[in-house]
Order: sequence, then C-alpha cells, then structure tokens
Amino acid sequence: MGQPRPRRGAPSPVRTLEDLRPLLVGPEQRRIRRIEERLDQSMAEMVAGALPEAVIESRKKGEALSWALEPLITDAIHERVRRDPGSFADAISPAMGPAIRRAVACALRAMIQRLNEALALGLSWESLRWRLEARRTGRSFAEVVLLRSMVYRTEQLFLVHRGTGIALEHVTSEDIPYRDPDQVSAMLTAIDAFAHDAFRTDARLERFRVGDLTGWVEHGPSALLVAIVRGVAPPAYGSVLGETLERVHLVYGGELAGFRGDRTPFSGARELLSRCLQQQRRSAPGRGRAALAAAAVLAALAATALVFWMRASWEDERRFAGCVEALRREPGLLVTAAERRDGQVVLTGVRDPLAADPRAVIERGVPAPPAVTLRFEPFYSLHPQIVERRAARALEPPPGVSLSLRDGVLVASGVAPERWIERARWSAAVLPGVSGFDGERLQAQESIDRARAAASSLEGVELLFRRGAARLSSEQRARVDEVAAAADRLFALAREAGMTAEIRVIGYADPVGSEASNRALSLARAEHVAAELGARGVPADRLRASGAGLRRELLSPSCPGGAARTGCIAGADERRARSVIFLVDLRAASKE
Amino acid sequence: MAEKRKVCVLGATGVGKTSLVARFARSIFSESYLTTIGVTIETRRVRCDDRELDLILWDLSGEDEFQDVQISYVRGSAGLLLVIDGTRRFTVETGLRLHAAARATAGELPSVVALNKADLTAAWEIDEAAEARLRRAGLLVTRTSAKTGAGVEGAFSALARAMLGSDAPLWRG
Repeated sequence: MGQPRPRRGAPSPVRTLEDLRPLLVGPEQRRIRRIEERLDQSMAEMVAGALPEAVIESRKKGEALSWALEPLITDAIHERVRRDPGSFADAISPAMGPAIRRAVACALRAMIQRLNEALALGLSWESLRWRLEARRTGRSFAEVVLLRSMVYRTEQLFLVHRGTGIALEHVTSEDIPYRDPDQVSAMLTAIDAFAHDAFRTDARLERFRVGDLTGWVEHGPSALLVAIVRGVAPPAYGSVLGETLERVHLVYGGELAGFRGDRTPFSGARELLSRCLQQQRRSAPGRGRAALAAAAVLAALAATALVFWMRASWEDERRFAGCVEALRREPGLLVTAAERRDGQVVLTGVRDPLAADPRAVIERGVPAPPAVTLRFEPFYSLHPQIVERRAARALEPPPGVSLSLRDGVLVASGVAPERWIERARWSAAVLPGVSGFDGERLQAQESIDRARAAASSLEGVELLFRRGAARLSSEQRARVDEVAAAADRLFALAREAGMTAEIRVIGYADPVGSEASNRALSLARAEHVAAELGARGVPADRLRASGAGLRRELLSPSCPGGAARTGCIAGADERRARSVIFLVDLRAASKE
Repeated sequence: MAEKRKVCVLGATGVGKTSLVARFARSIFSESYLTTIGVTIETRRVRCDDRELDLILWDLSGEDEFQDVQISYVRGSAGLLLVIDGTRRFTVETGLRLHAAARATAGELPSVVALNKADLTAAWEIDEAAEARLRRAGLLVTRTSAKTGAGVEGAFSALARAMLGSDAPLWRG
C-alpha cells in the first residue's frame, strides 16, 4: 500500500487505478511479459520439447491422434512425391518388392478369372461388340475383354470385434441367402487365429477364396471388416474397405475398446458399412434409349434370321425327306438309316446290284438335292421288278419273249427256241425271288415252224376238175384222202404250237361260160371237196368253202374280158383253171 | 438387441463336450472342424433374468495324449464351460489343467464345470473330495447328462448368469 493521497483537488479514479495496478499485479505483469517474450522468441523450441511427450501420451489414450494427423501426412507425402519423386522412391524401395509381388499375384489371379469368363462368353453378341471395339480402338481383343468383363458384387459384410470374434454388424446384398453371422464370424476368427498360431505369428488372414467367392479381410486395431465378394473386385476395393474400417475406428474407438457384448452402440455402423456393398456390372448404365433401339434392331435381325433359318431349315428338311422318299420308292433300294452327322446328311442302306444308282435316283427325284453321303451295302432284293430284271439278266430271253413275275412265279410269254425254253425252265427255279416258272404262254419256235410247214404243204395241193363238172373224178378223189391226212397233220401240229388252223377250200372255174355260172360252179366244186373232206373226218367247223369264180392269177394281164378270155389260158394252166385249192389260216390260239 | 458372449467349452477327449453342446445349441458347421482346425462353433440364445443373451459357443477339440487344445481360441471369451466325465476321475485333472491354461491366456473368467454322463451313476468316480477341489478352484459345479439332457440347460443358464454378473474385462490378449 502507498501513502494516503492529499484531499485537495479530487483525484481521477482512472489515474488511481493506473497508479495502483503496478502495485497490485506488478510481479504478474512482469512474468506475463517474460512469457510473451519467450513465446515470441522460442515458441518452436518449446513445442519441440513438449511434442514427443504429447504424442506418446496421446497414443496411450487411443488412436485419435493418428486419425487426426493422417490427412496432413497424406497431403505432405503427396506434395513431397510431386516435388522430388526420386528420393521418395529410394525411401520406400525396400517395402516395394513384396508389395509389387503381392499385387502381381493378385492381378494375375484376376486376369485368369476374367479370361475364363471371356472364354465362357464365346461367340456372344457381347464378344462381337468387343471385337468391333478392339478393331476400332486398335487394342487387342484380350485387352478389351479384360477391360469390359470385370464383374463383382459384395454379398456380405461382417464387422467383427477383434478380441471376441463376435459379429458387431452384418450387412448383405438383397436376396443373398446367408447363415448364422455369429457362427461365421466366430469361425473366421478361429481360422485367423489358427493360421496365426500354425504358420506365422506376424501373418493375418487377408484373403480366402471359395469357388468364385473371395473373402477380403481388413484388419484394424479393434475390429475386422470381412467382405464376401462374388467375382473379382479391383484392388481399389481393398482401399474402400480400409477407409471404412478406419472410419469405424474413428467413430467407435471407445465403444470397441470397452466392448462387453452389447452391440447397441454400433447400430450406426450399418450406414458406414453399406458403402462397401459395391457391385459392378458388365453393361454400362445410361444408354437406355440407344440400347433399347439396338436391342430392337437386334431382335428384328434375329427374328428375320430366325425366319430365314427356319425356312432354310424347313427347305433343307423337305429336300432331305424327299431324298429318303425317292430312295424308298425305288425298287431294289432300302434305306435303313437317315441321319445328320457333323452337319452332313448320311443315308445308310442296302442296294441290289440291279437297282438304279441311288445318286441318280436322288438327282432324278429331288430338285436341288442336298449334299448327301451314301453308304449302301449290296443285297438281293425280292422286289418283283428287281426279280424280273434278275431273271432277264440270267435267262437272256430271245426277242419276242417277255418275262413277268406273278406271285413269285416267273411267267414267260412269246416264241422261243425249244432249247431256250428248256434251259429257262430249269434256270428260273434257282433264281432268288422266283418260286416257279410258267411257260404256258411260251411257244417253241420249232413247233410253229412245223405247223407252218404242214400248212404250206396243204396249200400246195390242187384238185382238178373236168370242164363243167362239179364233182371230182375218181382219180382226183383219191387225192382227197391225201388232203384229209395233211389236214389232220396240220391240226395236230397247230395244236402243238398253240395255234388254231382253219382251212379255206376255194373253188375255181375256167373262163368258159357266164361269170355267174362259173361262180356257182366254183362254189359247188369247193363245197363238194369240203364235203368229201368232212366225210373223211376233217371237222366241218375248220373248213370254209367258197367259190372264187375265175382263177385270176392264171390269166395274162393282156387278156380281154368276157368270153374272149377263153383263149387266154393254155396248156397245163388251162386245166388248173378248173380246180379247188386250200388256204390255211394259222393263228395263235387264245388261251384266256 | 440381445447381448452376445463368447463361451469356450473345454475338456479332455471323450468327456462328451460336443454331445453336450449339441443338446443345447445348433451349428452350421460339421464336427469335422474339430479334427481339422480344432474348433467348431454353435450359437444359442438364452434368457436370464429378463435379459436375452446370445451365447457363441466355441467347442474346442478335447485334449489327450495325441492332441493339445488350441488354447489361443480362448482369447476374448466371456466364460468357460469345463466338461468332466463323471465316470473317469483323471478327466478332473485335465479339466483343471485346461482351466489354468485358459485363465493364463484370457484372464479370470466365470467358469462352470459340467460333470457329464450323470446318467451312468453305477460307474461314477467323482467323489466329494474331487468336487471340493473343483469348487476351491472357483468353479461352479453342475451335473449333466448329454444322453438324457438332464442338467444341460441348467449348466448353461448358470454360466450365463455368472457372466452377466461378472465385471471382469470381457477380453484380454
């Protein structure tokens, strides 16, 4: 305290305070000034002394400092690398080797998986599109496939408490069936511990593969984030998991450290985890209308192609069926199998050596025949046409003989030498498909010749008459016996040759007298001879008597007509003009 | 939301651990895991004094002369169920040894002993002295029969109650 002030002249209260302040807080003011001076002069020195201890203390309390510093350090590293990449590369090179090896292994595995998928795509529309893209962009097809076919989807996420293996949160994609998350997360923890104990104490379970599922395990100080991914996720997906797990630790660090089995505090983690539920599809989104149009065009093209294909297929099928039908209709050919083998039509069957060439049959029967492979084995066909061909080939019938098959019996008709008939009768019986030989309609050439000889011998006979007489002289009548015998022989031979013979008895008269009387006389002469023959046993129905009048072949062409002709025929012919001759009508007997 | 607790089931080979757990819980894994990685997992929800608790049971393969228990699996457990075969006295020793090993790894934990095969009273070998030793080791002793199901629910309920009442740190290591 200072001395009391004089009462004169009232002093200002401010001045009083100013005066009092050095007295009241003088030492403190000096200390503050000293501190300010030290702060101004040696702040950095002081912080440098305190910072290490502060960091150590902060580490003991948790990870907050790490999370806080991380963005600054990341930025600093980025800046450093930008300015001087060389020195940074030197610094991290010892760690780079293992990291690169791991990345290469991962990339190779992913590439193989995607190549498998690419192969599976085969000749799909997708692959066609990629080929076009490869051509357009100048990249290799494999490169485009690798680029475009990457597909993955996160199916399940487990946030697992590191110490207990208890699932704090479990998130799944829609429609994914899953099993008890607690058991799964506990077992994953057990496997992690097992691998850790059994192999390397510094190793943790980071990836596991089950078919096309990959388990990505991200390890944090207090929790694990396990993602079950179908397909191959890009390496960047690991960063997403890592960042999410860091955020979980940042937000729930305290709760994780004090976890006692109550999961309620972690209910908000679900939202954090859901950003790890990622998927990537093959087709790029956002091409709606163009894709729709392309799809419509494609569908139209496909429909047109389908129609053409169906038509072509139908045509092809029709031609194919036509081939088979043509071959089935053809005698001596038998189709046993018709199939498509390696895109080719193969017809298998048997063929009689006498049947038509199957290829010629197809070409004849089917317009624009398809390409076919024919495999025909030889066999004996019993088809009547083939049997007839076989008989004709074996028997070599002479002209005038026809062969046909009736109910297995070979029927021959026509005229043939006796030797051929005899041979055919024996040979036909042993031909496949021939059960017998019918030669009833077959006439031996020789028997016909004999009948014809008998006929011509009869036709050489002339019975002569005296002028004006209608009856034979006794001398000529004796010749009637000869004629009757010849007629008998003729009938017998004709019958043998399968023929019938009819004898026309023709009477003539010489030119003397009127034509009418001569015609009557000639008829009377013919009827007389016929009667004489009938009397000798010649059947009357085989005799036909007629009067021809003048025998014109004896008249010379220069002969005048009427009575003047009398002098035209002289000598022997003069007598022959009064005669009866025989003409034989020999014809095949109808058997029906 | 039900709380969850990891429980390890320990015991000598052949004491009936897996049968006991199968009486009580369900598993999506086959028993073959026991012989491959040494553990299989079951879950079961229990109700205890109006609280629901999901027990995640780690059924560890038994210890014998051929195999050791993968004791690191005990880390993070909130409780232990020691299974002892009431008809074989030496399984008490094995149970106690496993209990000590588990405590060394995971700290003091609520622990319940299931004296199993209680249906085989004629062959029973565990006498009062042996039970007293178990109690002295801080264990809650119950009798169970995996065959008849007798006492099984009781053993797990006792463990659940002990875990809910325990303030011990849930996991260590």
